[in-house]
Amino acid sequence: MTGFPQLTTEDVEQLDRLLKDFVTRSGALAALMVESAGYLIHRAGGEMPADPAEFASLASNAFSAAQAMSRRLKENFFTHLRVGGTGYQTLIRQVDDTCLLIVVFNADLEAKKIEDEAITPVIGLYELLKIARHRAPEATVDFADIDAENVTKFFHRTPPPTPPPAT
Amino acid sequence: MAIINQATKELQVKIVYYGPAKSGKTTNLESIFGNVQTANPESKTKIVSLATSSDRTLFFDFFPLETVTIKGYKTKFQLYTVPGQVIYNTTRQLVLRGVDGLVFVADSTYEKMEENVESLKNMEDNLKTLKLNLADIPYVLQYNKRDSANPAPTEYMDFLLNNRDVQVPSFPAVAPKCEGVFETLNAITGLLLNKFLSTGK
Repeated sequence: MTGFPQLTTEDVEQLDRLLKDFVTRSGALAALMVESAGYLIHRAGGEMPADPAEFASLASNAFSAAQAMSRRLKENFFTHLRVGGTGYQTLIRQVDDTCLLIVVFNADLEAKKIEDEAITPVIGLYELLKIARHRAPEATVDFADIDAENVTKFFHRTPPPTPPPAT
Repeated sequence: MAIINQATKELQVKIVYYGPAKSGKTTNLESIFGNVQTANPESKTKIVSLATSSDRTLFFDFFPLETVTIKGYKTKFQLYTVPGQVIYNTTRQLVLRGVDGLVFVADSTYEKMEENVESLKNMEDNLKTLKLNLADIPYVLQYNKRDSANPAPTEYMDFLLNNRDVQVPSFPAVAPKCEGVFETLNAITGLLLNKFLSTGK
């Protein structure tokens, strides 16, 4: 399997529908589609009690760590991770080698029900990525007319505060 | 691998700060966070640190940085550090997954040269476990702690750490004072964009 495929506007609309349907049906707070290195690709649902980009990064790394633990135990079929809590729970479900579905839901919802409901969007996302990968195996972008010299000062430091005049 | 999302016009890039323990990787991120100019300071995200009670990085530090638009693409940088201690090697391998660019932060103190060399070798080895080759990944060197009591000459550090067919840019730095920090970050960004320019991915 190659890396994360290029998505078209239609793909994004389709995955948005998948995630929104899932959130509505399951009662989950939010669903995040995340690339396995931690990039947030898309999200659906209401406001989260955490920054989604940070949450995506933490969740993908937590999943990687748990998967590595699992492999140490010779367990090669590791597809999901659930983090319980008193207010919220999180389900991290592998879609394929490049993608995770992360679901945040209230702790009073039944976790098994969320896990079952998540199967539909997982299959939908898997198929969508498979088709996208087949259509365009690698993401590319044409930056040909950019002047590289102009982007070498990408980040700027704030000027240090001026010291007060001597009295 | 960078994510280029043409549907949403986003470019997401992962840069990992690597180096021996206590070389100043986290301090680099803190200096960037504390000093970077952003269009909307209110939207500046905090650094996420998974550290021990004594502020030693346990898993990673993470700082998402959204910056200017290039050719209509909103560019998002994910800056990570790895834990430097030898025992956390598996963790370093995990954080390296999907890396696009590397900053190797070396400690300029003379006594730390052996640790610097070992850590650079460890970085290469860990990339190999991910089927990546250091020669194919944009990276820069930062010689941090130039204000230490006994800093090694930068020429000597170049000899130890940058003695390859193709030399990479190296920058002297004092991270707590933010000296050399933005020069390093802009250099790795430039290399990454040049890679996009030449390969389109």
